[in-house]
Amino acid sequence: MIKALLTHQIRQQLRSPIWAKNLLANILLGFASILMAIYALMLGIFLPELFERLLPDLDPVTALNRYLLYYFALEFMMRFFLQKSPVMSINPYLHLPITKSKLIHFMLGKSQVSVFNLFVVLLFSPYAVRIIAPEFGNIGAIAWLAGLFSISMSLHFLLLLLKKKLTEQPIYFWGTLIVFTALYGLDYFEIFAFSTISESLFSGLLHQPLWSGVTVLGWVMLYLINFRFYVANIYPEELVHKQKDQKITSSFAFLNKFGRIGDLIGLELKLILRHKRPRNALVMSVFFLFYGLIFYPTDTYQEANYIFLFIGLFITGVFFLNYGQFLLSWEGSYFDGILTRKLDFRTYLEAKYYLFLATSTLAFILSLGYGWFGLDIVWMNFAAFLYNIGINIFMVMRIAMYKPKKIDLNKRAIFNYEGTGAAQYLIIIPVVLVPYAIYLPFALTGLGNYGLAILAIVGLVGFFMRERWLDVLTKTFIHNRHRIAGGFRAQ
Amino acid sequence: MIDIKNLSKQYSGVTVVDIPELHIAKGESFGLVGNNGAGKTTFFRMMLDLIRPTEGEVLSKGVNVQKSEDWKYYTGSFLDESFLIDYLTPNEYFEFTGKLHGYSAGDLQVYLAQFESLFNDEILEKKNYVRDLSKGNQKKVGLAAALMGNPEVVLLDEPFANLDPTTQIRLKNLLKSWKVEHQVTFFISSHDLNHVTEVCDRIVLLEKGKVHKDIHTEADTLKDLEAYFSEYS
Repeated sequence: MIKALLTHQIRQQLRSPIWAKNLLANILLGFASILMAIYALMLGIFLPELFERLLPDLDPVTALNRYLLYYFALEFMMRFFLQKSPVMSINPYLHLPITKSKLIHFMLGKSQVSVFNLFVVLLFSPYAVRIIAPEFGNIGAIAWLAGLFSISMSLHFLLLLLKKKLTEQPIYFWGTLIVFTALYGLDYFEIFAFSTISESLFSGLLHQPLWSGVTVLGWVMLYLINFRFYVANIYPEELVHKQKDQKITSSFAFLNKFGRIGDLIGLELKLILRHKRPRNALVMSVFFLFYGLIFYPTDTYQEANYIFLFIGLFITGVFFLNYGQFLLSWEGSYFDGILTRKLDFRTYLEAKYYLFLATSTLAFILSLGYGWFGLDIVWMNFAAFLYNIGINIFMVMRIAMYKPKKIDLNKRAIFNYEGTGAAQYLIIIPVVLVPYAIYLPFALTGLGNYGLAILAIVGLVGFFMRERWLDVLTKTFIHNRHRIAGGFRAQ
Repeated sequence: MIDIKNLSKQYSGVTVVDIPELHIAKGESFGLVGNNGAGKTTFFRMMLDLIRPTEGEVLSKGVNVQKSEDWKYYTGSFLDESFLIDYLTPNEYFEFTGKLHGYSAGDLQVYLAQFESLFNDEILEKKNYVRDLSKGNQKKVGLAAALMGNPEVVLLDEPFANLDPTTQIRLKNLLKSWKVEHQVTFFISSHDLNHVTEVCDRIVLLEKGKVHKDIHTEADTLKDLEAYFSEYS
């Protein structure tokens, strides 16, 4: 039985329509996770040296034990965002003669096989081998590591429970963050020695290996609590849609003034605000407004300030880059409906252009605050902004029409590469490299301002030619529409 | 065979199913009709323990379906495509469900042979996944899987919808012969009054979650039902 379920899981992965089509994204993702594992292992190997450097007057065992509780707090927060809930598509099995408990044992058991759960082992086993084992013997080292691993696994199951029972309330994330920052603060100013608690807990584990049994017990207990919860609650409608009352975002009445285009922008805004992944793109755009803070205050970057153009392009364009690269993909599941809608395609595309124009303009206005770091930054952002609205938006829209892939709006936001194809990897070339090709020769010969002026003029000309660009885009759209629709339907 | 006791389901205060009492005897074929939103599918889902009732219980052979899973071993069902494992080929799906019922490869072949005319050469030994099949063909897969393992109770939601006329007639004959040969208690919901009155000996008409009519099928049942639906307001 378990074997059959396991083959189903593997087949589901291999046969997923996205898998083959997103082979490149999958390879990159796989590569990234291998890299992460290697980094974790490397960090683990050099951890003793790191502690020696940072806390030279403590012996390495005490040093690490002091911060282990903080580590687990960090792990908890990381899991909060990244850990997926294990509910395999259980629907097709519920009516079949398989007991619920079998399904749930399988589901929970499988959830344990995950990179997150390996993390603690990768990070701390070198420590156990190099530092702990010589001092406390092999049994001590094994018990210590087993203790850490069981705590990590307990966190795994604790999070499953929290996520299911309390529907991803961010308060747990922020709560943990605040509590542990506060604890660290108290620790730092030597008001309350939280690290001593951590130390005594984990050194207890070293001196009495039997304590690791307690952590294993915690792991088993949490597993069983999860099991009981799922057995009692395995009703598809209750597990899937746990949102109690959905907020219906307002209808953007102010857009009514702008006629048909306003209506379409309102519709697009609803699409963005009512789905996790596009909403995430929006949030990221706001987040990237602060991107400049990393670079502007640093002297090294101030000297090589031609890199600021990149930041300017990014700050004023991140939304249309992020969201616009999937221009048609967002609506892929009802694209036939769009094609048959009583609406000319030009208006459809025009609305998208004006949405991107509006977001870029807003981002530029907000970026004016960076004038505090020097007016040349404002000037540079202005040139980048003009280039974005005159050239780059059209470029992104055009590239996005090249073999778009469907996006399922109702899927998660993080680590979701659905819709990513070759075009999305290549988009950066025209968007960033072309303006640099114009600007860099001037900048390197000390005539940066002329380069920016040319960029600004190119952008401005492009902006005044926008009707013409929209015509071209419409033509491309009309020309490709059957292929695009066919592609969406096939997925 | 099946007893409904005080069964009700509410969604945020709105009652979608409210059936105080209903008894369905073994071998009876039970037809459920009613307009959209009458609660037919919700009722079926509660019978299969897929939805938690707000109140009351469904007893299958005297045992609450929520309390024990025994019913799974003698109940076949197909409500919608979510019952299928869509990344398997139809053959793989039948092999899997067949295995659950203890079928050997030979048993499975014999079993599937009776669906030959229903499948019309479009289902078996094809290199398509279930998700690539048309709605009608997916339905055929679900129906064949639901009848596997000599079930005593079979629940089908809209079995005739999405099927071509020929298949509808074949399915109707298949259901009728199963009823006689295997003593199956059928639960069939349908919008097709013609078919459902022909297959079922008892028709229950749901209106807004309540049993509005409970009739033994007779010659003029179809006419009665048509009259009800055309005057429905």
